[in-house]
Amino acid sequence: MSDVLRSVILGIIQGLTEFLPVSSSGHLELAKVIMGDTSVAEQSLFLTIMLHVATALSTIFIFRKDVWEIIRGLFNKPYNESQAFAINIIISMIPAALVGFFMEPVIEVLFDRQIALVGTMLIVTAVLLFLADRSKATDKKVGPAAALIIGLSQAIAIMPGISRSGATIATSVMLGVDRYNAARFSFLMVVPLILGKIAYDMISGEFSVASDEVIPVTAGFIAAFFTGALACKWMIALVRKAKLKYFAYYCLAVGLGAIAYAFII
Amino acid sequence: MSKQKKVVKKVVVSGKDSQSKTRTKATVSKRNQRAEASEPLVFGWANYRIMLVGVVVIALGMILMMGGSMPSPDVWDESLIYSFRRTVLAPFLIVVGFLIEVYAIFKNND
Repeated sequence: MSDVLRSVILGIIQGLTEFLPVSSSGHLELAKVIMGDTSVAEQSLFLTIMLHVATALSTIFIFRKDVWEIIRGLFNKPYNESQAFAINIIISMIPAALVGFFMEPVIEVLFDRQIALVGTMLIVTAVLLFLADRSKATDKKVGPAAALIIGLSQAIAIMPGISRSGATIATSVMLGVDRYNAARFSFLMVVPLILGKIAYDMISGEFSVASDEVIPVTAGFIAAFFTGALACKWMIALVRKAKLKYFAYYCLAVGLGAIAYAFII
Repeated sequence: MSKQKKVVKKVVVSGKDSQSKTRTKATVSKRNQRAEASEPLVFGWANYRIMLVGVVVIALGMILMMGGSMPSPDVWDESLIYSFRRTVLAPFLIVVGFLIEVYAIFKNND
């Protein structure tokens, strides 16, 4: 497979799995075991960073009006909704930042090729999505306490098999947050984390670019941006219409399949 | 019956009025919504062009980041790996490219 095509496919996968509630890390673990290919997860750090930037940009692109309003509101004097939203985003980042800093290596080792565990986590994702669809529609917004709980669910979603977007949106909706606000908060809360991680990686200087990587990485970046924008819009529509159950069926099927595979092999 | 019919007629007439008023209101509100939606941060060709410039700057940063390998296994030259071009200029250009993308997203086309 040509490097350009491979990067475009990786970009499309990143664009879809960043927003759709299917757990990209869980699928990656399953692919590693089923395909017996250790190189599945091995893409250059630089490509990984670029694809994450692309999906962060697609989030900003879709919510550009909201982001613009938040930025403008931050500089206004009386305490307003934008400042409250920004504070809630910061609160929601704390649990994932702590887990990422102290526990991520431990979690990675614990879950490496443990497909029964990944399968179980996929079933947990399915249950969360079912519950999200069944929650009543409200017009409540995210408050500080809800932000912390949503942040905790994001931290738990670091485990392969639990979808970050699925867990955070389901938690928000179950806490009574309006569906659109739940999706908006879920997608925007991860942008500062991604950009912070990228800034850290850039400063650490641990990556390099091979001479044949420029065109494939650029192609993957563009593919991830446009796929991410489409997936983000699609996911917002699905959350609003309470149609997450289709992803729940999918996660349930894959989860059960993974557990069955773990016991057969 | 006839009284009822008359009443019904009156109701129907006033209904038409209210319907047309509601329709007018709906059309106006739809127009307002469209106007509101189209006013701030419309994404047009100008934005795409700026995005393309951002992609070119990022690609330029990547090109500048290339290299760093030793000409032979017996040679060790730190300046090749940690050169100003690879460690400062290239990441700076890539970050500038990202910022251009953000500018392209928020640029208003009024």
